[in-house]
Amino acid sequence: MGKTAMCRGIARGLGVTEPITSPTYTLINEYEGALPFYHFDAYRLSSADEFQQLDSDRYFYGDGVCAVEWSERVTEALPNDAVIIEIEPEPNGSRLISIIGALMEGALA
Amino acid sequence: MNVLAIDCSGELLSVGVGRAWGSGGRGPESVKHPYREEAGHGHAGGPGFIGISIDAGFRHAERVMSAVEYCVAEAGLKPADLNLLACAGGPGSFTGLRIGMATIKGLSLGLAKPFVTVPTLDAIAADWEGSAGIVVPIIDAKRSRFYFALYDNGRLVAGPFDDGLARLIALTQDYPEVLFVGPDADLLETTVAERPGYRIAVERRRSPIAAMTRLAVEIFERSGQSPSGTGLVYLRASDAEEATRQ
Repeated sequence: MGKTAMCRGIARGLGVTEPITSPTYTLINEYEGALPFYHFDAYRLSSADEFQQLDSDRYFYGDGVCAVEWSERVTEALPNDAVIIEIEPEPNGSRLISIIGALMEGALA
Repeated sequence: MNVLAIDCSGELLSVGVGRAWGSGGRGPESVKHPYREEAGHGHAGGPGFIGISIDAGFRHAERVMSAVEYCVAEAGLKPADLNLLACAGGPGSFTGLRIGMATIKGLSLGLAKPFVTVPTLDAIAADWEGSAGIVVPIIDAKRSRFYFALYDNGRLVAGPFDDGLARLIALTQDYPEVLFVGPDADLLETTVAERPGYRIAVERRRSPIAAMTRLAVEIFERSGQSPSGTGLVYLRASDAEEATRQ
């Protein structure tokens, strides 16, 4: 689908040199870059509450960049100004990518 | 009674050891450290308090044990001399609270010593006991919400709450004098500027560890030790729903 590939790109943009691996099992991976990069995967979580129990707020309201895969599973735990990126596979193998969020809309207006 | 208290509930890490504290958690009236040539620089007898507070980033798990070692040693004690262990019971940073609780439960098990939890807001309010007016400790709960409670000279008047600014104002506006304390009180700067009865404590990023140590003794003397399965009070709205369902 391309979620981890995209996170790899964000990490590279932040100057992270470590290899980026999927956090499906670890839930959160932390990397050092120009800004700290926090890579989450909510696939194994069943509720926003469970996500918050991991202290997601410490990351969201901290000093780094956070990317959350499967964020639709934990919508209520996300900050209101989060940017949502949807990746849809097309029949021809390409991807339709939508970027949604007040912050983005403000930037494009 | 010798007491070790740990507070990892927020950005500050603090550890305190009260030595030979009396009933009601009262420490020394004045710390007695007579310098005696013949005794060298050994530890003076009698009550004392050693506290350490670190406001330099959230690295509590790495720092907490060396802070414990330092405080216990400076108090002239060995770990086995401790009679009571304590940690912040919440609310606060989920991770931080768990670091404190895991540390205290581990020590409690290893040393076979009792422990108690001290509600975080109670400890912060106790640190400002004696201030005029209503004291309201503020902890940032994120998403424009606060953990807070109202205290009148150390006595809980209302709370604890996990709620927004509107509720905070509604509960406090009828008091002539309200003092907001605690590490996140500065979030209320705009609100305080608009209301003459509201004030923010200047030294709000200070550790309440001595007060927490005192409350630990009071709680232990009143209610005994906490059971080994004691949990933390995160105070999230979802916890309250959970409790109602049960």
